[in-house]
Amino acid sequence: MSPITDLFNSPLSVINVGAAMFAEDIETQGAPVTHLEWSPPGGGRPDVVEALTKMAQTDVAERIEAANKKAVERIINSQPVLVGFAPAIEVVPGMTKTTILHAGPPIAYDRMAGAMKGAVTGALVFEGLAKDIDEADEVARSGDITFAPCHEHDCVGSMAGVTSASMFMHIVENRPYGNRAYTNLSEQLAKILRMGANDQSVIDRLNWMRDVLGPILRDAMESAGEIDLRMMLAQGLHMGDEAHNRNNAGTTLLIQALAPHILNSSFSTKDQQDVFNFVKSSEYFSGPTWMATSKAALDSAKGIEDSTVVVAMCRNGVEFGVRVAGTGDQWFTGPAQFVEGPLFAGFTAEDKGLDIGDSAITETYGIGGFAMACAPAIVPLVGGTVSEAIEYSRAMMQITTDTNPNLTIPILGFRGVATGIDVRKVEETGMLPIINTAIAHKDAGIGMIGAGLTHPPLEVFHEATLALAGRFAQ
Amino acid sequence: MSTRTLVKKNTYIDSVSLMSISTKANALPGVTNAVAAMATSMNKAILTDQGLITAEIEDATPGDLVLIVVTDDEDSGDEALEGLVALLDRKPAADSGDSVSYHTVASAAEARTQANMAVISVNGAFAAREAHAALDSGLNVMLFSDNVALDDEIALKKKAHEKGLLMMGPDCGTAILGGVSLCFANEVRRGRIGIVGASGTGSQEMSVRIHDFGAGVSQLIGTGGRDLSKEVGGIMMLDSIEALDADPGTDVIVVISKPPAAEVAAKVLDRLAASDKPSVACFLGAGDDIAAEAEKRGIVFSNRTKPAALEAVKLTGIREEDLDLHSLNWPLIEEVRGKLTPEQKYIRALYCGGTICDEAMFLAMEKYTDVYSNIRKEPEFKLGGTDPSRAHTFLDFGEDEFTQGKPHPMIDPSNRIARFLEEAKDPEVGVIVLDFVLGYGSNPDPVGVMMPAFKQAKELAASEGRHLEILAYILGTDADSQDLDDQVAKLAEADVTWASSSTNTGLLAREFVSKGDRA
Amino acid sequence: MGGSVITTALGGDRDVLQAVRPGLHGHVHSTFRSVINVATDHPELLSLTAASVARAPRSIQVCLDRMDCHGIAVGDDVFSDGHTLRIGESFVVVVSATPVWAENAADGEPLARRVDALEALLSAPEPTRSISAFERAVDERVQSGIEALQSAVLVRDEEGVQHAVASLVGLGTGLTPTGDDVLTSAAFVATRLGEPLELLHRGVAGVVESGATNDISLTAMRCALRGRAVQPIEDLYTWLCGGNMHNPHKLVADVQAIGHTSGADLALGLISAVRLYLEITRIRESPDSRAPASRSASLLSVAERSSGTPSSALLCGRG
Repeated sequence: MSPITDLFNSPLSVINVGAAMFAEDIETQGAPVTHLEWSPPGGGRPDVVEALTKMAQTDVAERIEAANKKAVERIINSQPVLVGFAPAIEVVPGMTKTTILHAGPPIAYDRMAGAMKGAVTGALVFEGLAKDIDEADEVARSGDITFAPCHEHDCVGSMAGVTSASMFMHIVENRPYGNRAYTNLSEQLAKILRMGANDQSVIDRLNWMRDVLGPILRDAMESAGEIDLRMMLAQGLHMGDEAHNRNNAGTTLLIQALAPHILNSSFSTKDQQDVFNFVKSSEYFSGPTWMATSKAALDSAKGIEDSTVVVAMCRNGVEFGVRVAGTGDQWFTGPAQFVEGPLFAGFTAEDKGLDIGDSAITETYGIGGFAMACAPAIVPLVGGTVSEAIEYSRAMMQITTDTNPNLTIPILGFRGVATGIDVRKVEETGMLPIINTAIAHKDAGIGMIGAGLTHPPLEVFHEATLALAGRFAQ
Repeated sequence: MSTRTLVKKNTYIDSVSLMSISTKANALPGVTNAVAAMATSMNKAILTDQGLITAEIEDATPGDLVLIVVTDDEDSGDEALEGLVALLDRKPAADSGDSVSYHTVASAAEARTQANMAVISVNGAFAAREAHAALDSGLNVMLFSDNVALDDEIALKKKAHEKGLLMMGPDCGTAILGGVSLCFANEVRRGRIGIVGASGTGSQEMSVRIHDFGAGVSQLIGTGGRDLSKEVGGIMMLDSIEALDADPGTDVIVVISKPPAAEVAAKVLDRLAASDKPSVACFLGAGDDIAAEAEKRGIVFSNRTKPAALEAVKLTGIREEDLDLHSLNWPLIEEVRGKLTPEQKYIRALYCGGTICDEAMFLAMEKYTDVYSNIRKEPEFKLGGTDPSRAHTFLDFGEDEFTQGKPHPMIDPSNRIARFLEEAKDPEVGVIVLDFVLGYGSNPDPVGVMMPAFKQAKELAASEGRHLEILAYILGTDADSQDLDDQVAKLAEADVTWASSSTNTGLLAREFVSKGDRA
Repeated sequence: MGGSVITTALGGDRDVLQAVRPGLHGHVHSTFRSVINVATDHPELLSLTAASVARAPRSIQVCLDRMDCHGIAVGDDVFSDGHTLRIGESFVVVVSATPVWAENAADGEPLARRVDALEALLSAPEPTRSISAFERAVDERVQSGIEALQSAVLVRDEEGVQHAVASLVGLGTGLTPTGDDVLTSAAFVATRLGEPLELLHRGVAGVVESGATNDISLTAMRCALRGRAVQPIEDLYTWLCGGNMHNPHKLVADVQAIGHTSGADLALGLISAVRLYLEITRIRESPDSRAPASRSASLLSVAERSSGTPSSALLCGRG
């Protein structure tokens, strides 16, 4: 019996690609039909479609699948562990007294966004490399300062992400693979360097963080030994965080783990109290911790030949940058986007700055916007509805390789977070990774004016696709 | 009794999920005890008490997951462990999925496990790719898109043939499978006649005639217009005939197409002849040579749709004498001939449906030599999209020269309306022929949108003291959503003559304008 | 992303929540440990309170335990669009979908036996402490002010009422001085009970019109003049009118917890006004409508009992 004859004798069940009216007519007749949300692959660009077709050839596809499997296995098996805190100059590879690291892909000082320039000049004053902000600007242009992306030094930085020698850093070690990742400490409230503020109050706070907060945390970790960040992150996700914009649970869990060891430290009661009050003043305290956790896991997949898995997404306020496992250190860049979401009362769209920060490393790992279903409470902040928030966590599975059974989403039946963004799938489906993030004011120093959702520009995936296909030229 | 143990390193699963997994695992066939737990010291102590501890479990850390199954016999151990491991894999069930949207054929096919057909109508540049993805996912394909390269069509049909799947198209606009009409198709009675069509409106016409003659359609498969070309070689036509041959729901097979390439025609006729089921071949515009080939093999043949349909219906046991055959209305022909002046000698046929345009044109060509068209291959008779009409002109408004940038005329009638008004001014025009296609995919009121133009044209002719004969054919059934009776009533209201079939339309048109002879 | 305090509103008064919806612009009027007051076009201040603060008209409770550590300064701009309320650059309250507090509709009249019971609870023995000469002087003036007010209302002496009220306004220490609190809760009772205490209502209304005290007291008085008071006082009043919803010990404890001495002062004003009302109705219903002297004496003695000697002033929970 011909298989086509089987078709005749089974109920017709249709997948419709193209004109919606055909699906409607099928539905009218009572037959099940799924209408695809279809868009031309590769954004309709023939060169990208050709590249995708090349990568879909059986032998090439097999190589890619094997490489992606390996990459995702590493990301999933990664077990980032907090092992200490120390100044950047002591632990960050390649750090010097005159190095300034920043968020996003590489960018020259004079092209930097206002907030980032504000942060850079503030950091130079903090480091004693300039006596005031005006001098700092000259120093920045002098050629004496080495600028580099945080990502190129195993670091990540939130918002402007400016990281300098004296700043205390989380030291996160990836247990099975041994690589390390670093990030500085949240400044918590009001005017802060990471938003581009650089007045004396900012410098004073940075000094306190260098002289009191950092050392207390270092001593606390010496006492504690290590903290399993992946397990803590998993608990936070079960408690209503998504670990990018909503960190209430994560911060509580982290300070709870550190508390006995802070008390064990030799600092005065007042200093200890100041530290506790500092952490309490904003639930964002553990935000950087989860960024470093994500970075540590993803870096273990860097450089896996033939893999199309994304290992970094980041922005510097001017450009959006992406790195892919199979293309080594190459940056694929496109214009940074605006973030869409409700603004705090009194601000308007004209006040919006462009997307900035390395915090999209959380989405790259599968948390943050990818785990919005864990955090319905974030909806009033980023807009939309709870159903939409949950749907994002489902939808991202269509552009990823696997799910991470170590980080699960209760409301989706404890399914693991979508892991391993595959450049090919982004191009095939036309679906871009969702990022939920803060909206910063375009002027330096004012800070957060709202929150919402954004995506990378499609261009970065086009460039990555062409580069990847090019490596299969043989 | 046998025990299987597996330690999954570095796998954290929360306690709620572990409970659920353990419960399900204990319900697996043959399992007397199943454990899924993190290797904490507390749990290790319990396992020790239960006699389930192993060195591997001892070495495991609290971040590792321990899986144990105890089965009552040796053989089911491995299977049971696999079953337990499978429970860890938490892909969402393929449920109603109302809220989920899919962006690729592959992802939709994976989730919708019951899906068996992909209907693809995207831009031709991307259509082949999507069709390949559908075939690779095991779906049958209806490819409505046109402008797909010949090489792609051949590759797709070969792949489909190897997989035993249907690859209908490219440029396939009509199918009815399992009683469900796809794209442009009519609501017709379900019955025992299977149709394979290499032409859209031809298939529609065949199905509608069969319905009108009291029989029904089991399956209507479209192959796309190029299937019977030399290059494609009739791959889908042959596979479809084979499928209908094996289908217990089909007693009679009908094949309809424009004339195939000679060697392909032979293959098709051979395959029909090899079947035990009676069949009818309808090749529009075919000459006596193909008719002879068919007769040689004992296959009923016609180059007109109505007779072909009638023969098919008779093969199901319906008697001709019981039917209204809608024979040609000679009194009407005489009447119209009487109304026309000697100058009004030409047919101007403005069609939406390509195949029925073909049929009318071939019927005109049997009687006249000066027949021009945008669908004639001979260069001396070919008209372009901007050429004015010449003598007898048959235009298919569904062809590229007319559809550039606009929807198909079955949906957007504006091109045809404009041309109609032009023809109505021409004093040499004897009859203007128009088709109105009903059914799924078509305009909700095809005759209605033409009414103002009818009025305008009739008034103009009257003011110039001449009769304007408009001949309309409505392709549809009483079951189509557009209300056939209402459409006919509108024609009557506009003083438009209407024909009862595509074949009759062609015959009436050529006879209306015939001068100085008797039929 | 750091840099902003973002908190949710746990609940709010209906009128205030409606006020923030269409759009609001104001500035910070005053800041305290548990309350931020905001001035807008509306004559009454709007309060953002920490979670532990009692519900009140014109307030929204936020999910914080302190309000004074977030860098909010007097004069900071305040905006609201119904979705968020923002103070300064970096303090944001999410107000959309905030639950509205249920309103307290206490009808009826205070019951004498409940008033007696309440006074007994408020007079519960407490450890004595020494009070300053200033406090003693304030206490005396408060007592005499209350007595004068009660007498004037009884004999329908409008000018007397105005004098008595004026003697209480701004009297005492604290953000809302004792005298202001007494007048606030007295006005609340007067509004609830209507005609019999109309003179009292008018007296306090006069104060508000003249703006004779600070904005915070004025806001409380305005609310009182439309029948609203802080939740513990409203609950206590409901109980006095026969409501059964609360354990009176808890009610008293909640009232005494208000502010530093405000709670006790509000309770004093509440009881004084209620006693006055009971006296007026007793006189009206009594067949013998003469002998005002004895009545006012009995009233005076009642007033004496409630405001009393310096030691019983202590027992009202002050100090």
